[in-house]
Amino acid sequence: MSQAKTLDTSPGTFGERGISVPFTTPMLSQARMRPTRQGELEFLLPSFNGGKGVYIMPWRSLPTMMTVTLHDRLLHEALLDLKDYTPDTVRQAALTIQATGVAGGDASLAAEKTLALDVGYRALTHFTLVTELMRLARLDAGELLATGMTGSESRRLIRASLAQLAQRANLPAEEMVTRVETLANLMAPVGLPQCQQLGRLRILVGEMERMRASVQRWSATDFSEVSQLATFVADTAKAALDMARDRLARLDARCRDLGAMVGDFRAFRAVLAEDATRLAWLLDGWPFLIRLWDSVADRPLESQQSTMGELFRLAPLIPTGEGGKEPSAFELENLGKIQTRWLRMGEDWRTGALDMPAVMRIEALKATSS
Amino acid sequence: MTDPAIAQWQALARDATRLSDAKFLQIYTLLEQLGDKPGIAGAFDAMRPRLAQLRPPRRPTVSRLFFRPAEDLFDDPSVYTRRLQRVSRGTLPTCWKLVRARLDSGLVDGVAQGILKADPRDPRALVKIAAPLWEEGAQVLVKIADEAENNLRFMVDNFGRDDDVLRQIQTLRDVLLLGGIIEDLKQRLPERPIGDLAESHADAIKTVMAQLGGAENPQAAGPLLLVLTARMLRPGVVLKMLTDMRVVGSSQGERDALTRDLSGVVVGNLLRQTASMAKAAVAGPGTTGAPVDPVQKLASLAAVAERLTDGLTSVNDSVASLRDKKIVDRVTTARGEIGEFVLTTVLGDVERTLASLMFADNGGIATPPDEMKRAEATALALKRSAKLASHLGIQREVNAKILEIRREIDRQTDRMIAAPGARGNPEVRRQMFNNLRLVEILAGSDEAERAYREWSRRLG
Repeated sequence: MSQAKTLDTSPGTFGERGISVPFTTPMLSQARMRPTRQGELEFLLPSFNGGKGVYIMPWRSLPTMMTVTLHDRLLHEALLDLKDYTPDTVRQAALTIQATGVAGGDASLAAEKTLALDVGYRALTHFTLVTELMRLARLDAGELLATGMTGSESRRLIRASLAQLAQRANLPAEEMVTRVETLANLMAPVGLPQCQQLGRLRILVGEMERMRASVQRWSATDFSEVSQLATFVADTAKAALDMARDRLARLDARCRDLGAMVGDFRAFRAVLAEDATRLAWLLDGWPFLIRLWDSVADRPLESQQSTMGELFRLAPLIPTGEGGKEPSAFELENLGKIQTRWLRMGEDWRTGALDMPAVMRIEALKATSS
Repeated sequence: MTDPAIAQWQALARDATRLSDAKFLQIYTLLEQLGDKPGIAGAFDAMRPRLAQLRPPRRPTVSRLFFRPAEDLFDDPSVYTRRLQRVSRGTLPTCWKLVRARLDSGLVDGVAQGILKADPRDPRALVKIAAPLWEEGAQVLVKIADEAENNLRFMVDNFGRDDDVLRQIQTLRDVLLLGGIIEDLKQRLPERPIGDLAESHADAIKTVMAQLGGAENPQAAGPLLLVLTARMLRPGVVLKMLTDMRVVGSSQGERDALTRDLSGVVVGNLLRQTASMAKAAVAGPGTTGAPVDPVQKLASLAAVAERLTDGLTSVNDSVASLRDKKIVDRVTTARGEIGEFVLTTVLGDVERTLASLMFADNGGIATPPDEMKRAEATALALKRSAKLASHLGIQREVNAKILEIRREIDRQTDRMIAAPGARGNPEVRRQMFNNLRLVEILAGSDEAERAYREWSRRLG
């Protein structure tokens, strides 16, 4: 059965906060998901009628409240198939479903493109790691950098280089291959500091900063009470950004010393994984908010005010156990009242009927990038 | 400006259309700052097609800004109807010419300068600039109306012999007197057509109504409510606010009279729009000669039908309070007309339109994304009509149409899945999802899920 809580906005950990899921059913949009002890998935739904309250309910309760899109049904199935739940695995599952076309042609093309970019960036991270390690070992990486190679030639050369590195480090060649692959997979979402092309999460930090500054500017020019919501959103973004930048700086410092790879790899991997995972959790949920805010950049003030209410409702607070502030630090009750006053209810939300144009607006946001 | 100079401006503007978007818009901004000059107008004509694509924020002229508070009441001369407190666009040029001649030129120049300096995307700045113009202009309109009423020569020379123009000028004057208040409120409300109101929006309307006259003088808010009802998808919401307004003593009669007047105007306007919509549908495609995209037309007709049905449904209570059998009968007739219109125009060829978009032979390739978007828009138009069906008494027909299309989608998907090589073919899978999109729009997500399970099972 569903369980309603109000202003329960400060979970202790990221795990308790759940992972945002890019559903297309308007009432489910950006719901957070977390596995229960019984191995089921439960969903934390942002309040339907304003404020920052949260409804917690298992999937099976949802059909009694609303019609769920086919996209969301398939995405839920894909989530059930996941072995572990992180923002990255959920994102991957969501993109795979989106690529089928179930959320429309544009969203499908965007997902295909993003998935291809992910694969390309993982290869680039792998390649950068190999060339950096070669440089550190004072080995010639010239052959690797030659242009016009086929894929198989390139793979053969990389393997040969890794074998050379393994020999230099007194490691079995296969062990070196595994370590580099593990590290490339771990670091691909962030990107290595040595790589000129930025990784996805690094780009996201930049986009979030742009959005934070824009929302902050907006709060200074809007004379209605909604400006208080904008200040809250900008502050929430700043808190996440500050912590994300710390994590990035730590990751970069560690990755500049890749020599540690040939030492205690388990420990090295663990500290990198901790930072990379925390970074993903800190930024989880923000890509949708950035796109939502961008989508009203040229719209009239009222649309921006209404969207600000939505941003307030969805803005992910950092859990107290992860360094976030106590809820009492935010005058959430007062802000919640403001948001409720500015919330425009479509008729369909009361009946739970599916509002296809609203679904398509969410799909259009998915299509802008992923 | 001489003719060769005008031609030169046009030639330069044509050359500018070959530049990059950024450079082209830069030139447009510079030209705008030159103000209202004959040669510049020609240059804008040459640039218009590209501007229509890029849609930069438009800097208003002084006259456009002057009329802005009343723009929701404007009708093209061909559809203008008397006694509905509307204004024919045909009246505006003469009106502006006369107002302009009587306004202090320093004021007009000041407004023109203000417009050039202001960011056209900042409506608040424009309200500030135009406030004295509306105030002065409304007073000038009073004088023009007086002169027209008392000086037949002036009337005939400027407006002809039709007294209706005096009513239009009065409507304009009433609205412009509240110009600043109306424009300020517009910015605080959703874009037109206004669908749902948040509590803050309703509060904003009630606050302005109270400021204007409140319980003692509800009539003072008349012009504001006139504009608001023209902007609302469901004008009955505003009428209800008026009937819910607490009034005292003799004001109750005044409030009821205003409600009756406004209800009459709102219902009259909805009936007029229904009639012109039906007429336009009979007349066929637009008069511009430009080809009309059938999908776009279908979507916009369905939207208009939805707006009118919503509007009529929202004023049910107000119509009842009018106790006017004639209006009640006309509303019933209008519903019938909209229903007929939806049946013939929106539903008429919908299955053929969908079939041509979805099931044309693409050589084994799934429907391209652009065609798919058009198919979705068509299905949405049909779905919109289905939502109206119960109000319009056409449920049976709409359901039959949806069922027919559903069957066609099933037939086509069955054929596709049964064809050799369908299993493992990514294009077949893609088209399956395309077809599921239509099923979901037309028949809902449960039905789409059922079809998905069935088709996926067969595709393996």
